[in-house]
Amino acid sequence: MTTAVEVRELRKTFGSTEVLHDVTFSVRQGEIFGILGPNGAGKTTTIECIVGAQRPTSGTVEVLTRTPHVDRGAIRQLVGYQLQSSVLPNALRVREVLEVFARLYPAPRDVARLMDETGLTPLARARVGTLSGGQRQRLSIALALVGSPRIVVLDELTTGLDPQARLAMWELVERVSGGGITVLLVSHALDEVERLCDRLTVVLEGRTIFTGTPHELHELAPTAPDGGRRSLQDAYLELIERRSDAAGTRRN
Amino acid sequence: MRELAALVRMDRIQLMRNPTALVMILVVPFGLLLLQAYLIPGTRTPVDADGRTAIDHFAAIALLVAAMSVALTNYPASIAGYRETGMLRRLDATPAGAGRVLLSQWVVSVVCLVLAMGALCALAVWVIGVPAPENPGALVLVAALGAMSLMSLGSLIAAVAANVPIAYGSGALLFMAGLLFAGVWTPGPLMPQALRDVGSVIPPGAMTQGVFSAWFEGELPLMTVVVLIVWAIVPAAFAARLFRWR
Repeated sequence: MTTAVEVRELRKTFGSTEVLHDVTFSVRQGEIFGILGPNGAGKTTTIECIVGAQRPTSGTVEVLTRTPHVDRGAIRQLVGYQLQSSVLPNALRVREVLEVFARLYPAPRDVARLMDETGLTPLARARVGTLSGGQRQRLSIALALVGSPRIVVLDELTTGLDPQARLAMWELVERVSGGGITVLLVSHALDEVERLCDRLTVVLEGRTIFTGTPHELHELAPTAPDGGRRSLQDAYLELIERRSDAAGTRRN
Repeated sequence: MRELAALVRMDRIQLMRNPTALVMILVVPFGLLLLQAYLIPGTRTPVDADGRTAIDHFAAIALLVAAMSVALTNYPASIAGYRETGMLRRLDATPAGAGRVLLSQWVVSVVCLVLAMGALCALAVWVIGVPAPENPGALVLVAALGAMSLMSLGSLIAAVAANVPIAYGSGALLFMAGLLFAGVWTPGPLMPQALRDVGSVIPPGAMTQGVFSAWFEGELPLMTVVVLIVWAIVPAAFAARLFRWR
């Protein structure tokens, strides 16, 4: 399978603070790939290097064989980006926002069809400022898709949504992936990752500490001390705890 | 071009649906001029040797107020608002590009300025009874250059202000200083010479003096034109270098 995103030994510093020390993973075309890690682990900085918004201090990032910070023009067309907080112009109506963003791209999706696919048609005339959290996220995804990208980055897509809205969002991501688009999913929610991701990477304190399938992550610690079966979340937390302890010991 | 048109559409809709911005652009300069004309006593009395009245001077100042409302408050606050909410970051992820984002705001602001200044001139001449401009071409030129120099100054705020309150605060500070040098409190010959000299080399003062000369004396002072051109270029160049997406 062809590689969509290749990140090798990525390092990023801001002034004297080193945020990323060594992040390495690759994403195959067409898969849903999860990026996990605690707050401040460096997930968003990694994503910003992938979309070209940040220049790596060292290491390499390639997106569909292009270097993002060098070839930003092409990357902006190839990668749709849904930001962590849904940043949208509140005074505009849903259809207006989509029409405006569509015109920023050379080969945009048909707005009416995109609204149908993302369940936004009934909200076409609603002001963005009046939308619920779930509706805003739908619009945010639609905006990430409007430029006909080959890769879409979804950053903490379902944070703060109720269970029903989360389920609807997951189904939407599955439909997007079904259309052949590579999905990078930044998430804290292990149930979401388990349901959606083909593979994932775990980043801790700016380093990759695991890359594999959700099943392989689970296999790292499949059973509890009492012999019971652990959830993926337990396995993830144990991995984080173990590696945090190891990192602390190294630092000491 | 279609990208710029799309951004202009977004900025125009946002402005039209923002009552505060519209009040700043239309009500403040219009209100100030009407207040001076009809409520403040003595504004129709000649204040200089040529027989110009205080309201004649205020007509020139009202154009400056309109320009400053847009250039020093609305425009920087819009960009700072985009920065504060992360909208600039969102646009940075599209092929829109920084240049088009700023150019779009300039286009919307210039259209606002043309409409506001045109309407103010009409109000002054046809309603209040200020004499018609002696040299309309010079008036348009000097008003346009003045507006550009103020937009350039506003770009400095827009480039770095982290949020809307900072942008509004900085803009309001320059706005008040601008009113002082334009002669709101000491119109025409009542302004101390030192203040007039400083005012002649900074945008608010230079614009007001230039507008007054073109409107009532039919002259286009070369020095004023040079000063305004320099101010239209230098701060904008710095703003482009200092511009922050976040």
